Amino acid sequence: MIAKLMLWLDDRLGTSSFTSRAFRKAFPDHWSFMLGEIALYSFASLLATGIFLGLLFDASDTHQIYHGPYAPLVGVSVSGAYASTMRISFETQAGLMIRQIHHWSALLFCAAIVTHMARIFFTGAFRKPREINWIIGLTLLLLALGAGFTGYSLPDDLLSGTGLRIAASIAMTIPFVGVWIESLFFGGPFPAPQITGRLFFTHVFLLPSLIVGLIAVHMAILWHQKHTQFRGPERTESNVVGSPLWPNYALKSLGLGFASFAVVVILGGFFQINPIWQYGPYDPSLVASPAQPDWYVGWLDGALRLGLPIAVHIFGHTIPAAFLPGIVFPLVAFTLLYLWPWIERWITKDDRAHNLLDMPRDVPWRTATGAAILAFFLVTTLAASDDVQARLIAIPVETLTRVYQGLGIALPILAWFAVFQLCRELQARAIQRAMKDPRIVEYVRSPEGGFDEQQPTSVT
Amino acid sequence: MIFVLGLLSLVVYALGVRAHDARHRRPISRWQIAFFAAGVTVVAVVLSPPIDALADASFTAHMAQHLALTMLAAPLILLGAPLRLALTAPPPRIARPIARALRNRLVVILTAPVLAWLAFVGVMWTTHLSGLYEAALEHEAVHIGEHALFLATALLFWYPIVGIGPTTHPFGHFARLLYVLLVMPQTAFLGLAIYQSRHVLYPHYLAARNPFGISALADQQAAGESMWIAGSLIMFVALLLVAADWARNDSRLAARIDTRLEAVPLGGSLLLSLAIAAIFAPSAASAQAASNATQVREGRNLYELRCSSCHGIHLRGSPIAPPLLGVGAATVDFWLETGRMPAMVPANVQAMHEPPQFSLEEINALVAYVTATSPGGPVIPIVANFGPGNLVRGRAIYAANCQACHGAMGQGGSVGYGYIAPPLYAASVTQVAEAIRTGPGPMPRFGPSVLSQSDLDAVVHYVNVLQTQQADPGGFNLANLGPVAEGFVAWVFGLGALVGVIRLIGSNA
Repeated sequence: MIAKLMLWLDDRLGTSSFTSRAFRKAFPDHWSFMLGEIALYSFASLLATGIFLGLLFDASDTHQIYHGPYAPLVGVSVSGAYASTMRISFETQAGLMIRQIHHWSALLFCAAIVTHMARIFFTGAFRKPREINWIIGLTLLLLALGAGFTGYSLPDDLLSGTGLRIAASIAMTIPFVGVWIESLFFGGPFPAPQITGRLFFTHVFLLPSLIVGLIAVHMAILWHQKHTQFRGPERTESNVVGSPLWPNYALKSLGLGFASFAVVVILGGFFQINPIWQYGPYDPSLVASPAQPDWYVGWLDGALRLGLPIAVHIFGHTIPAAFLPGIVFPLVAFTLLYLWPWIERWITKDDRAHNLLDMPRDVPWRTATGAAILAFFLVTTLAASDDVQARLIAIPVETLTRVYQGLGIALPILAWFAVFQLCRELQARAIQRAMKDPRIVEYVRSPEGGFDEQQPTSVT
Repeated sequence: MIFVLGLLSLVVYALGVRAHDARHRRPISRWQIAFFAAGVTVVAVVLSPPIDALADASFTAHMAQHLALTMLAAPLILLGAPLRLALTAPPPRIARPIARALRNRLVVILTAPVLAWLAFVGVMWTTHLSGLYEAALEHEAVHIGEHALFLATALLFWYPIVGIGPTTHPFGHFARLLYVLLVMPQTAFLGLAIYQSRHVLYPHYLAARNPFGISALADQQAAGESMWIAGSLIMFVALLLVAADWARNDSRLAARIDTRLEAVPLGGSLLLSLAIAAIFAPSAASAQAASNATQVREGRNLYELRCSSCHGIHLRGSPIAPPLLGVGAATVDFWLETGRMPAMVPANVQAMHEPPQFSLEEINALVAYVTATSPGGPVIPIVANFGPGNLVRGRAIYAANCQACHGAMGQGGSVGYGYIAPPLYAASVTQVAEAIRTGPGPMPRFGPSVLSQSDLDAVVHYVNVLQTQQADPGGFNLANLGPVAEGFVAWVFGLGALVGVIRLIGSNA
């Protein structure tokens, strides 16, 4: 059957030479190479559930009276966006589950991208010739964050509305042009009536198209450049050791795909996420509290909470305190990440192409730097829920904020030195282990001129 | 000697009962007196010379003596509530120092249930497995000390289980069940250890002539068996009694809530119910006036013992606690019913919801005393259960006034300066209404001019919906922690599970 189809295609398109080569393409077997695939499959799940939701969602700001089965809101005036999300949640067959699968997939998508990126960073897979894919991957992360934020802002509930208000306020902190930029995105001072339509367009068309396009380029480049691999027997800079795409790797990947879908369906089916009926419709006179964004935006929220209350006045202009943590910090952080391949080359003066990966321990300074960056993001992410933590462990939220401010400075430094030292130790241990290899011997020349064979004694 | 001591304690107890009955409306019950007398009698009998002599010669008899002392006499004595009597019987001049001694930091620490449990179990194991037991058999002085230690730790141990009398450690019924349950394996294992021992543990018994005419080893096995079986049985009975007490307590609480709810007709229109309330409330109050006087007197006694050291005499306050003048019935009822008062550390620590330390009658008496001494302030609100129409209004009021601190799901939040807005799940309907009307701690106060009675009903109804989790159609609500818990679950269970999968299907090299 498949063979027939292949023949039919080959007769018309001449595909067989490509497919036969493609089926034999080698894929490295190391588990960490599949992190990116988890992201891919979460994205597939997002597309599938997103199409369902997009057909039922009504992106209108026009208010209407709610007449659904959720008693506490009956007769309340809500936006079309909120009403349709309520309809999806309470009156559509499996609607709530699909919505929840969509949301859980988004959380998983971002988590998988970050983990995949960490693997690329710590093994040096971004080095020449793969700088372009590093940039594309980083852009995909930003697009995913944007898609997540616009997505959870769509239902027009009190929690996400609070988040949108914060976003609008941050935009306005940009010196001189802030108010214009806010108006450009929101269509007027917050709360502007066009915002849901713009969010909808961005979330269901603009960002997904960009993500799909960039994933295609990402994978085409990967295909063309071939995989990196860890050092090992018979692995060189000019070959790839692994299993062929068909049937070995394709079936493995298919299994991973099913596992990913299973995980998001279980989460969506059993774990309530974003209960907008409890948050209630957005009302500009109210604010949700305790309010947290989804985890992948937490680092920004946390930075705002940790930022010092220092406003700068220049030329009769006020630059609000939120400008530094809200605009400068993410700009600096992502610029640094975008430029990392060149920063590293500038430091190492290494201009060669690399297809063999580094073990993280073998490049202590890079691993330590990555750990410090992660530590900083971890602190800001955790700080985003300082009010919740303060309640749970019953200490003043002000104290906790001070602690996180201190940790924001101390933890990255501490992480840098600790990880650096750890890498050195792991290196030494690896050498030690290699030295114990019975195949390695030392030849010591005796005063008489003869040679004695002996086990190596010390390692430096 | 032991008889004299027993008689003396009975006489003191009887004097206390007489003094109490002269001073208080409710006399000490006969059962209570009987329990105490029975407990003291058991102590006197098992420690009497003939039994003691028997115990000296037979391990089994000795074990029976110890079991009677620690598992029968101790709970019986405590059922007589001697400590409560010590507070209520003597004049305040004497009772106050006793109350102060009970609040002493060292006493408070030493009487913590966890320590009492450890002391009881620890004494049981160490005396049997160390040289102490043999030493007690050989030297009379050590023996008397050992019996005193047994009785003292047993009294400490049983005090939280019996749960009668003043305490600084509120101990819920579930905790009591666990507390007893955890002791069962201790007696069973120690009993089994003694039973299974292949040699005589205490050489003293080898020398003694066994009164039952059996060998010392057989006697020891019988002793082990009796500890194992009798110990477990008594603990099992204690378990049943605690469970029964729990059930009784719950139904009493339910009955009290019912009477409050019945005061207003259910499901009636707002206007009608307000009219009825307006007609009946004054007449109901006058009917109560007669019984009020005794209640006020009882409340004053309680106040002077348990409250006045911080809140001052005549509710006037002190440097460490605010005056209670004109605070109203709702305030007193709320703080006492939610166990926030009496506070152990009244200073800067925010009091949290705990099991109440007073019985319902005692709380009513204190409410009566405070309102009689200083009238005014919010009355205990009566909450009616209206139809779903009101739920909408309740949600709107909650969103506007409550959720900014207590969270959209009533999960609580932190409000700065070390204060937290507690989760609303533990509070009863009346307690929620009382908090709204009185504004405990940093919470604002919503009087009738801000929130009408129907608004109050509505918002309390909505809080009740949040409490009963009627709003979670999406599955587990992850402790209502919102995106914090969601992110955690996505990383740990979502990505964690999938990383597990790729570790399985991928290689490590």
